Amino acid sequence: MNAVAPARRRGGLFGRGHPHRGPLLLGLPTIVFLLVLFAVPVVQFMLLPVAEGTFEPYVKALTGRLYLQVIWNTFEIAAYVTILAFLLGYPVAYFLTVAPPFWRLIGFFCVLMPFWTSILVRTYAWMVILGRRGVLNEALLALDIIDKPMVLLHSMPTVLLGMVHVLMPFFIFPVYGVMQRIDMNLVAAARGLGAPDWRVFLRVYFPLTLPGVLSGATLVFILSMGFFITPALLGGGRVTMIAVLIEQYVNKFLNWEFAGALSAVLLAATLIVYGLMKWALRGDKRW
Amino acid sequence: MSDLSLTGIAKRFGEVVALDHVDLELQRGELMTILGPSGSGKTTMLRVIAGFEIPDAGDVTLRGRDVTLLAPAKRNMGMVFQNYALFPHMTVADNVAFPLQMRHKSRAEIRERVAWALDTVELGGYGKRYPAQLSGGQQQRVALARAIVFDPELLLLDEPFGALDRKLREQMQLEVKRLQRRLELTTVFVTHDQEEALILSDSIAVMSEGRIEQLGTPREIYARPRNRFVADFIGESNLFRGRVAAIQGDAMTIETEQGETLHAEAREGLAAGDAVNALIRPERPVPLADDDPLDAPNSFAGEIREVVYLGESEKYRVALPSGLEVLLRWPGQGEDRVRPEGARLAFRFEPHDLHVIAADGVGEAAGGAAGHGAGTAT
Repeated sequence: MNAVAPARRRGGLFGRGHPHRGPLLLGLPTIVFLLVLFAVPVVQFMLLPVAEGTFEPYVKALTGRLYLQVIWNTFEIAAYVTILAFLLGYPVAYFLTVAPPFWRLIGFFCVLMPFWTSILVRTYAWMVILGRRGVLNEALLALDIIDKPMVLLHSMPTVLLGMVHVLMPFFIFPVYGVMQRIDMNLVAAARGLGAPDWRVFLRVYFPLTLPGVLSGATLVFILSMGFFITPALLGGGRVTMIAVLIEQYVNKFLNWEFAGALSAVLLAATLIVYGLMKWALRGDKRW
Repeated sequence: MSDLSLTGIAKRFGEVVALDHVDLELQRGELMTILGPSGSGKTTMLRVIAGFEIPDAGDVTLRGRDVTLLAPAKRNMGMVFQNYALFPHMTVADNVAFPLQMRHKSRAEIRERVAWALDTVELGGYGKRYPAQLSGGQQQRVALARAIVFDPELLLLDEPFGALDRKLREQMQLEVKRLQRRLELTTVFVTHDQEEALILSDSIAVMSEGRIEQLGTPREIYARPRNRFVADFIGESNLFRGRVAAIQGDAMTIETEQGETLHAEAREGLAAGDAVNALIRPERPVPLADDDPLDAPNSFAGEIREVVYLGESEKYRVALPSGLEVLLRWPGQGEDRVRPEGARLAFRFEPHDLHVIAADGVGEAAGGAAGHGAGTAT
């Protein structure tokens, strides 16, 4: 009995009895903080209709033509943003992985600087650039390339541009993390075994980055679905995403029950996407 | 005609000379080991052969075809990497099928060849597993199967046994050697482990600082090293600095710095007064009984300073009265025949077993000064 005792005494500072007690205690302040200030209010908000004794807002949110259209819009935009983040971010992540130290530093600076800048500031910056009397229009007018200002704001491409700009780092970092751990001997081996470069990429390199791509894409997709500031400002009411709609029901129509129902739908959609990603990565354990 | 030949291969990385005009030739079915300490250029050599590095000068010829500038994918060489480099996201069968798929073989042929290769490395039932589900030795076999499945013109092994534990390593070494013999694969094997080199090779190229110090069979390299570096790097050795004292017919005597006189067979190119290194391998001397006279040539007696017991053998460091220390290695003794530290030990060796190396040879001084051409000692 005595011989076994030392092995059982885990959990360090706090835990003698239960092995998980120490970590649990350390996490307690955060858990309480999140429960009281986040989880409880959010759940309360989403359950507002239930508190009123009705399920009708949920049904409406899931069946009303307008709302379905908005939910579909949201998915569509999130999908476009994710695809664009992949197409633009993947090469950047690769560059950061293989670049010599100086260029890697420059690369990280270019990715991180905007990342650390407030979303609001960046979104307003796009408005300054793309506005009717914005930098771009003025420049093109001055160069006589166009003869009257183009309408660039309040359109789908602009919203996508702004969102991709904000969200790309969320794609780049997980992919970079995975790329860094790829054994470049595998690439050498594939080449040595007779694979031309494009097949090395398709058969070996890309599949190995897939876990990073999937987590990055999920992150971007989920964040896109709940995105508010950028679509609200750059979309100017013409591009409606679900978060914008929720805000309107809270602030304009003062219909909190319906806003809560819409939020529940958004949360459910988010969880489904997250679950799909987990399912897609389930095979990861084998290697 | 030789299967693989390298002529005048040179490669620098910035200021560092990795390969200094190296020549090599391999016959069909030959296994050559490139042996050297880290930084000797052996890995660069392998990478040049495989096509991962383009040499600054020189040619690589594979079965009469100049491949110096050819991309690795077009060289038809099978390579086993240090950490095996198995594709973790593919099953064992897919890993082995990979080079065949790259060569656009038919499905039926791929299935047949993969089965053959996996059977050859005795992993018949493992096709559906993933590399992470295999032991180190099994992963090594998969890597080997993948390297031979497409009938390569050359097999390259880059320190493939380093990650295995000792027992498994020896087993795999013998297996690889048998396989290589059976398939008559011309093979270049890179290692820093001299024991491994002796076990596996038909020929060994000992490298240091981008040059080949000596090229020969394992026995030649061990028994007749060409210079101090090779003598020191391969096996254990007693290396005594000294001078040729006298030459009489086919015998000569050498006087060591400590004043001991050693008897050796005369060698061409040496004259009295020449500075030499005398090499005697620790297992060559034989013990003398306490009452044997010490008047035969190369008979010595001294005090045991250190005993290292290794089971199958034991080593003694013996100090002669002159201060000269000799390392001896003999079969391990039973409990009843212990030779303790401090005891007297007498031994003798044949003049034939004393290998004399001219001291002005290269790789002589530490750091090896002047350069000699790349080795073709055989």
